[in-house]
Amino acid sequence: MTAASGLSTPRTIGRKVGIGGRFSPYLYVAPFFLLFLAFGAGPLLFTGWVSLHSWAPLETEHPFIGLDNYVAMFSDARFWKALGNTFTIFLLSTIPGLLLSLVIASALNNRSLKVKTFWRMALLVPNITPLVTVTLVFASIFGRDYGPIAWVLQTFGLPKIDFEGNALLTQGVIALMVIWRWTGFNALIFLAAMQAVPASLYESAEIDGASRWTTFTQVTLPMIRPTILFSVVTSTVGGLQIFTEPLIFTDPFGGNNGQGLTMTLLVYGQAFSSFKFGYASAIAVALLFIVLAIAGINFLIARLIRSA
Amino acid sequence: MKAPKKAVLLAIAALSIPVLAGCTPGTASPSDEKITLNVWGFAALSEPLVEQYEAENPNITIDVKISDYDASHQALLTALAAGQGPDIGQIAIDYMGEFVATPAAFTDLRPFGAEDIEGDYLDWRWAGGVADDGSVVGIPTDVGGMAIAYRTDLFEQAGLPTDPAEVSALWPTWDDYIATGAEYVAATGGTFVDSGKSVFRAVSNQGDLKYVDADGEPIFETNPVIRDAWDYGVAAIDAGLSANVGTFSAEWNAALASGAIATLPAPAWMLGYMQGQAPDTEGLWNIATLPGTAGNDGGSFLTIPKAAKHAQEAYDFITWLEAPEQQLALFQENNTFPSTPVLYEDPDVLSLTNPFFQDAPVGQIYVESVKAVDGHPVGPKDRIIEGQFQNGLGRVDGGQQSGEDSWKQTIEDANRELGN
Repeated sequence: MTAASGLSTPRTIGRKVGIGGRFSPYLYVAPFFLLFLAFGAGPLLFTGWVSLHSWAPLETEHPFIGLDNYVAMFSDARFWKALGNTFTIFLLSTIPGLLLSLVIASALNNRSLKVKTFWRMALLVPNITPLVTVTLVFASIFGRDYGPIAWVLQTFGLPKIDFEGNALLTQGVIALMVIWRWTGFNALIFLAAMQAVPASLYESAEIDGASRWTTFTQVTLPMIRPTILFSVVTSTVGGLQIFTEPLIFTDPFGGNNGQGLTMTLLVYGQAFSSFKFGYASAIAVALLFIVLAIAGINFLIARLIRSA
Repeated sequence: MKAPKKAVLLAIAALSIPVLAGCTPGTASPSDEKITLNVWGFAALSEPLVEQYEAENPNITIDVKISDYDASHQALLTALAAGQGPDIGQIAIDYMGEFVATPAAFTDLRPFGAEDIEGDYLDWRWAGGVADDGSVVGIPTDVGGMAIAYRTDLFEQAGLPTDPAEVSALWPTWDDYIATGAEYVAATGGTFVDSGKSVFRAVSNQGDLKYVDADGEPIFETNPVIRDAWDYGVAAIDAGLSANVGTFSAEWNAALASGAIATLPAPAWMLGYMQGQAPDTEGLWNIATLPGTAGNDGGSFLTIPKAAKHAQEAYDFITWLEAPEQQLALFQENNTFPSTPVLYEDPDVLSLTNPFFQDAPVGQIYVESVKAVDGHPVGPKDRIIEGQFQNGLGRVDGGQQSGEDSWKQTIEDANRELGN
């Protein structure tokens, strides 16, 4: 590193970095990537490989059938039903859920709020409750014959509601379980972002005579936009893979008419009930691409909003 | 140098005798190795019998892992697919069709002498454990038999007879059963049976063919037994008999206790379940024969996966556990009905009564029902097809579709499951 050539070479700031130093950042992140390769990328590629075969788990021979599984998938009514159900549940749970999280976060963003820590911990409790327990409790609350809602209906002489019998009701209850679970979590994330907004912005808004609503939409929301995008993406990835709730609320088939059948439930059913690992892998790969596509769309929209 | 060499030779000879003796196959003392047999199942093994076996064979410990019905089969499937598995796997009759289709995943029990005990078991039940290539995959445990458990107090309220013989005479055929049910509904306004599916299941198991024929070809679309079973299920629903609760669901348990279920097609193993779920209804139930008498629902097999470490000991245990003497003890303990016909003449079995059910002669009733069964061929996709029919009747029960529309959709769904 001499200046003999006359060109200005940037001096390394700090101490000299040797060969080991050049590689040390990669060494620091290597453990994660090695684990990811073993438990993430490896199985992913294997799933893709299995999807090209007719793979019955107990058989020793697995004939290669190319893209037949995918062709069958696109003409399978169950696949489209599962796709529709998954999107319905996703929209029903994500949109109200995130709006509710925003409202709760802004309510907690009040500096004169008492026992702040208690409120914040309370928000997390739904998130840490075991999923199976939550689903069982919701199933009994929304039971047709016995349960609090059935009891209330009976007291008022109203007809029974079969939440499991109607597709929209089933999906609504599942969406409700998802909202219940994740609203607090997302609210905490939004709250953290809101607390990072500089107070000077609020002061200048106050001086300009902005109302609470205008402050919220013109100051708070734009400042936490990256966080909102993060929450939307994580909610998307999670919401498109809902599994335990429909499994326990309905049954492994997704109900009498597949009303609770989500993509992941279909993968599970095809693999472990119908013993068709190849077909299930094909559906799983399709799900991967759908999730990637939606995440990509989210990203593009965010770029457009930012540049607008 | 000769003397030391001789001494060395003698020493070697002296040492090698016990070593050689130990190496001779078959002479190793059975109480040398400590063996743990891993059992995976969905129904608890009888504690007294397990303890008895462990006492008689002190070197063997039996480690039982019980999971939920579906979960235990999936765990077994994943283990077998990975080339692993327990020493003994319990597989329910509904799942057995798909497991027995790949006998390579299991240890063939014929070399251990399975063919010698074949005659001890019901032939149609034994056949379910034999693969196409002739290898014996599993030893049968119990069979279900089938009868109708009914509430004497509710029958009294409806003006129906309560004596078991008279009640059995009410319904020699399923048409009579539905007619009786309609009478009950008219008299009390309550529901008569738990679901249309329940009626379907009982009727569909009565023929000598079910979803597949002897060659494994699917015949559910044209088999009159299935069509009749469907029609009876729909008739029960249309006549208002059905409480529309899924078997073993939380609502079913509640309905049992609350009296929304006046009659229940019940295999022998369900009696213990009812006692557990609705203990307050003790003394209010009795048992009558099924319309058509013959019937069976349930049962399982004990299999030995290929990867089992102690196949011989596992075989010894399962054949001991399912031998007639032990099956008798099981029957007396919790009404698990034996699959060994020699017991059907046994006075201990024939005289067994159940106090929870007003001392109903459960032994006699279930023996009659099992003896009348011919058994039917089971195919690998039977469970999936059954699931479609159950969904179909569930749709009718829930008022989502008419009987005819649901039948068409069911056949479509079943064919699609088979085809793909």
